[in-house]
Amino acid sequence: MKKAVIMFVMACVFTSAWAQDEMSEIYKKEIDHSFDNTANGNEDDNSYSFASSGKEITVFNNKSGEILWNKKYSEISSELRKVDDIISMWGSKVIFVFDRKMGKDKMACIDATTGSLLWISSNFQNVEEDNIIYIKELNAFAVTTKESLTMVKARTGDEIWKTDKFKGIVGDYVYMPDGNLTMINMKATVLASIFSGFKNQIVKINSKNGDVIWDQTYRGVAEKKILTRERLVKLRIEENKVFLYMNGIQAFDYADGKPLWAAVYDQTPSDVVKNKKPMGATKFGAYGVVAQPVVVGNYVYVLDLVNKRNQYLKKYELKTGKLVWQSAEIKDARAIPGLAVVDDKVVLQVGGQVELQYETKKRDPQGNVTIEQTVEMENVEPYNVQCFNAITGEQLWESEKMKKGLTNMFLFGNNIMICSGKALYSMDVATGKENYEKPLKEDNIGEADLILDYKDQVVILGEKGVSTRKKSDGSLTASSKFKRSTPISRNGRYIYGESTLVLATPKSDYAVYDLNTVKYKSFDARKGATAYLSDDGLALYVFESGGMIRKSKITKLSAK
Amino acid sequence: MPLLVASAICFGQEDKSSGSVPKKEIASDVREDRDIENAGGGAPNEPSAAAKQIIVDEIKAQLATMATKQLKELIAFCKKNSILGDFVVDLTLEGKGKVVTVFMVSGGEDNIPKKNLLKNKLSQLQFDNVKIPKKQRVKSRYTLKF
Repeated sequence: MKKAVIMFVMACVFTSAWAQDEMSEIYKKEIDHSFDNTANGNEDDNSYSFASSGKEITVFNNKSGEILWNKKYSEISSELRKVDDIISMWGSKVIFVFDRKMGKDKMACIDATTGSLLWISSNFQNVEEDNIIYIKELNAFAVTTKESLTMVKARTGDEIWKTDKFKGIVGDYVYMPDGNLTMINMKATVLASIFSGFKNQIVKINSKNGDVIWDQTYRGVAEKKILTRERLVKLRIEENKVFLYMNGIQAFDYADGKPLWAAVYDQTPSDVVKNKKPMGATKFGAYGVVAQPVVVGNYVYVLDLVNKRNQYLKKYELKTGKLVWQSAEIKDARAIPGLAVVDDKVVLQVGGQVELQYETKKRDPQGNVTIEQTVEMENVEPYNVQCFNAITGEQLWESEKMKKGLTNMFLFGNNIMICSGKALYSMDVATGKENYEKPLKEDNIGEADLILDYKDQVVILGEKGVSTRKKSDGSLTASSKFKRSTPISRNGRYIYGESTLVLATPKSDYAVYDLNTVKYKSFDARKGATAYLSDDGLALYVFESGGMIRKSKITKLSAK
Repeated sequence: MPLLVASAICFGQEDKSSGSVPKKEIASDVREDRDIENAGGGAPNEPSAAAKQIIVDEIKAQLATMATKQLKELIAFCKKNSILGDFVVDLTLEGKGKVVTVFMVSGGEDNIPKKNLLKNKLSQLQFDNVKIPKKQRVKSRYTLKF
């Protein structure tokens, strides 16, 4: 059941041929320089992508493949000798490039459509993607550094205001129509926040003049996934309240920042499953260990991780923070990745797939060090499903049918669709009784890693392919085997457009599935290639860097 | 309604041929805080109007004489970087007169890098003889003429 998405590791991959079609090319462009930094904008007529080395960049139109411009950075500005980092700000159609020199970083803002320099500055040090927010309404960037926050006009570089009342990078932010920006800060790394005397801040700032309207502290340590850098913190503003979702929920008054109530736990989810940390891992994080709070009407259902072994389900009134009920202890639970509410029932998935991200360093006999970065799904025991009365909090039933394995679950009407890895189950929420149990052997895709909700079907992502089954009776609809691979996903999203799902192997072979037919088309790219699936699921962009012998190329492929 | 003290500090460029010191002209004005309100309101957590007035008067006096070490450095910095013209700025101070927020209201649009330089220098200023109660800030608007 364990599946590894090995990003930079040599892996044994089955290479036998499958009778599936190759993806058709929409266009292919060869460019004269290698690249190690690429980005792909959203699909519209004027959207663009770029491929860049440390010295040269090529920008092209996504739709037509037309090269919009190609320049050496030294041609853009004599102040740029080499470029270490690039950030694309799609909303403002500019590209930030950074020439980094200890304490003397140069940050240049380039018009992405023409390649002309808009402005260049040495005022911002150690700026990364999380340090820049584009505020469309002001056509300006809020740039945070270790010391301060500065509002900069996008096209001119005019620094309208600067305040040192906000420090660190932005965990999340909300821009409101009243012109105010509410944001929480965080350190680039958790370790840095512990050892630097870093102060947690949630602030409301007038984006027009930099006035800090209020400044509060929040509980906990805000972080991002250690490798993929996805946000784990969410800010929402509703009915004049600021809700911070991070290890539970914290509520603040939007007008004056006064803390209203909180239902948070201080336990770090990664610690709960730290026994899963591989030997020698220098970085480690576990995600999806505890389900996010679920808001239904005026109430929020939250899991409280008192410690590794004592966990409770709690229901709060959203407006007042009043605790409506607390469940009995959820005994022997470690991970609780699933929480769902249907009518007057709350269903908990105890145990199952959690995401691990880690980095290890390996030294070979010659003394060479290889850094391996791994993102994988890992099963955490024990496994069961529990159901609670949403009105009273009393437990209604508990099922240990999946005690040998559990991937994940989702609701289907008054039923739960749940998978053990080897079989698919439908259970009646009211009673906990099985509607059916369907072994997945005939699907021929290895053990299931994840199930997804898709129309009237359950999509089963296996170790070596994809299958679909009818939700109503669990019967197999279609199945198609691929290589040992992993789906391309971002922030929990797997299905793009109407029906596209992409699997990728560690050797950069791609299979694009149409979930309506569960047939796929494939493309075998050079090892180390980077691929982007368009939001509408219609195209796959593959960037393959070349060198002296083979030219670099960018291919747009039809995903249909 | 809080009052705004607009302090206009004028000092011309040094006359190299005569070797004279920069000429300083001081003008002050008192008017309603309309501009700041339009800009989104004054800084919250301000002291009482009277206490604020004392602080603003002190800052205005320091800006008028440009006698403190940091303000002398500001003049030298502007001269060195050829920063010229009228700049309207909102300065928010806290603690012992430390500038925590600078809002460049107007001025310097013809040379943005120099305007940014001035903003950075202003953000590093610390005024003398100012004590603002903890968790309070004082914001006021000033016109600087270089």
